[in-house]
Amino acid sequence: MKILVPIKRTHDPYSKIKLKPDGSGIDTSNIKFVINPFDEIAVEEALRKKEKHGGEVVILSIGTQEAVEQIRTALAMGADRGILVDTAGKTLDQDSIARIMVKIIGEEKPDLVIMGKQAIDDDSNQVGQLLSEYLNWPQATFASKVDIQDKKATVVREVDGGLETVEVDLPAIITTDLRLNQPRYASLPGIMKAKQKPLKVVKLDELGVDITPKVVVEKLETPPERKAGIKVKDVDELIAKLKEMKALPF
Amino acid sequence: MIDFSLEPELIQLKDSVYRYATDNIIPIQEKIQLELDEKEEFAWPIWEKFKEFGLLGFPFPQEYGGQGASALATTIAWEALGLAGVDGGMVMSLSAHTILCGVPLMTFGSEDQKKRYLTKLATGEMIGCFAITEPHGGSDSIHLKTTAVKKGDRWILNGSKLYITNAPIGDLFLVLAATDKSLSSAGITAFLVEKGFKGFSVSRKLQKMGNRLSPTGEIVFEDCEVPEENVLGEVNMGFVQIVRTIFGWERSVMLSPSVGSLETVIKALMAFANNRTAFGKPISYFQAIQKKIVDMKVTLEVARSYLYTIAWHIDRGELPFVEASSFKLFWGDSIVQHIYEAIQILGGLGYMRESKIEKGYRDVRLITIGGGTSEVQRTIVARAILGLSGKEIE
Ligand SMILES: Cc1cc2nc3c(=O)[nH]c(=O)nc-3n(C[C@H](O)[C@H](O)[C@H](O)COP(=O)(O)OP(=O)(O)OC[C@H]3O[C@@H](n4cnc5c(N)ncnc54)[C@H](O)[C@@H]3O)c2cc1C
Repeated sequence: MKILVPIKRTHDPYSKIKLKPDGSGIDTSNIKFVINPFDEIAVEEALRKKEKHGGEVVILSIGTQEAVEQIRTALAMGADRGILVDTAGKTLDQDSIARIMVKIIGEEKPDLVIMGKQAIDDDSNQVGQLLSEYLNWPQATFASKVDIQDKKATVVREVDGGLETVEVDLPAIITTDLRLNQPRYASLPGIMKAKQKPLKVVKLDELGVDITPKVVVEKLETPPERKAGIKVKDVDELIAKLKEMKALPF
Repeated sequence: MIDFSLEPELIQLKDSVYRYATDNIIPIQEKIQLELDEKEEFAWPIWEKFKEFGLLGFPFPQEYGGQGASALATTIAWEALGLAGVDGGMVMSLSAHTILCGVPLMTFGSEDQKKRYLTKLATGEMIGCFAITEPHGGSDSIHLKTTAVKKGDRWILNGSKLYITNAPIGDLFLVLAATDKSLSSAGITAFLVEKGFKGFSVSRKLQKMGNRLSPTGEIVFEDCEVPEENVLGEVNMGFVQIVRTIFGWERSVMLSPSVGSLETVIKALMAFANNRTAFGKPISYFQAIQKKIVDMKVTLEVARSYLYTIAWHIDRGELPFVEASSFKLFWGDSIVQHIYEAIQILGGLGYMRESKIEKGYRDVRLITIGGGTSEVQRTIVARAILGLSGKEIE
């Protein structure tokens, strides 16, 4: 079975984000970059499926040359080869990303695409669903358990208030939720092996995908700073304060 | 040409070890560290986690179950453990096992010895120790009182060794004994002694100031029988070959966790100094506080470069014996002073057990003693740079 895992280079969720003064984006100096945590879960799941069913795990990243670092990390975890679509710094919206993926998937013909449900930088939660539409493949999003058997995937999804189990025919798109697995840590032999694994770089212009943006990010703002809290003496004072703020329904 | 950049693979390794330790070791440690420190007990759950990541055989070749790490890769992985805040005593036990016992075995062991022992150290089936120090004195490590006499196809060992890391839980001991006293350092041989060998015993477990999760003990040899195939390296070459290699690693690579922890301490102090106010302003505004933190930062950068350089020499097949001594001398005296000042910056909080720096202080205090005292390191460097022979210095 061939599994394609698209991964995005995002800032480390534990690093403190600062915006550029003009609000056009985040200030990337002095911050650490990682594989988007949901995508890392996708890599882990793909590796587990490969360990069970055999086959190949292919990593795809769309971004600048710097994303090679994240592809190498996925290869160090155990993936077999990588593809970078080099955007040369062009800004792309989610729809363009999905269309680029369609192109690569057309060439690679995987049996399954596993990817994060969203990237932690812009939280869009769109690419998996768009991809399913454009490819006309079934989708199972927000997976917390994935079983594969006889060209079918049984996926337990996290939905509001509980779990839903769906079955999809392969090829399919699965997007991962946080509780699907605990990703492994690259070992030294894994890291050294990754050095030798094939990594193909494709130039975005050569793919001939229409990347006219449909969504343009106009401005980013940080949330207003939270005011310091106050300490209350007892429950009576707490109730009084909450009433004063009209925070109680009575 | 000189290139100071780390290979991307080493950066990745550091990140991987740091994340592994942060996610898997620290949550366990938080629950048990203070209690085990009080009771002076080894943290088996943390040891299990070391094992899970392959740290128990980290520098050993992969064919013996190791990870094939170079000295530099080991330095960087160990630094990441310190950075993540893994207990100093536990890392010391890890080092005694992998570096003090494992590295000489991997470097000088016969194929048969590596198959019998190195593979078991890598899986954790055996815990390794290194024993040179004796009750009468550790600095004078060439006039050993423990003796080994050949009888038929075995060696008979008599004597005792003190302050041996991991002894109370150890299975395999790399022991140095005098085989020809007339030759002093050229008459010492290294032996691989199993805890079950006849005439071997651990006589006591010692109580310590710091590194209390790492068990330390005394071992005794009473007509202890060691088969001749358990001689490590050549007879009479135990000091010249083996101990010098061990000291090279012990006085550099093995100190790397404390370099990582200094970085973490500095970060914590920066946050503290910017938040804690006195006389209406953050204490970081006072020059007296700034000086302490700046000095730490300077030491950190110098130490890291020095340390990486020494590891790089080891990986080129050189024996940076004098360099390692001068690093240890510099680092030991500096880190003790810096952690002393870290407590000072934290004020009363620094003196409390909950701040953890109090434990850090007790732990790092060892660095100017264990693995050779600062005085001895200074002597080694003096001898080298002044071109004096051993006799003139002693
Ligand atoms: C926690 C801990 C763990 C240890 N683990 C191990 C281990 O696993 N294996 C092992 O073999 N050993 C181990 N040691 C022993 C350690 O290496 C010795 O303690 C150290 O080498 C000093 O020896 P000593 O304690 O006998 O002090 P001594 O040698 O008696 O020294 C006493 C003092 O005299 C000074 N001195 C001695 N000679 C000179 C000189 N020529 N010039 C100037 N000053 C001098 C010393 O610097 C020191 O200040 C450990 C020690 C500790 C505390």
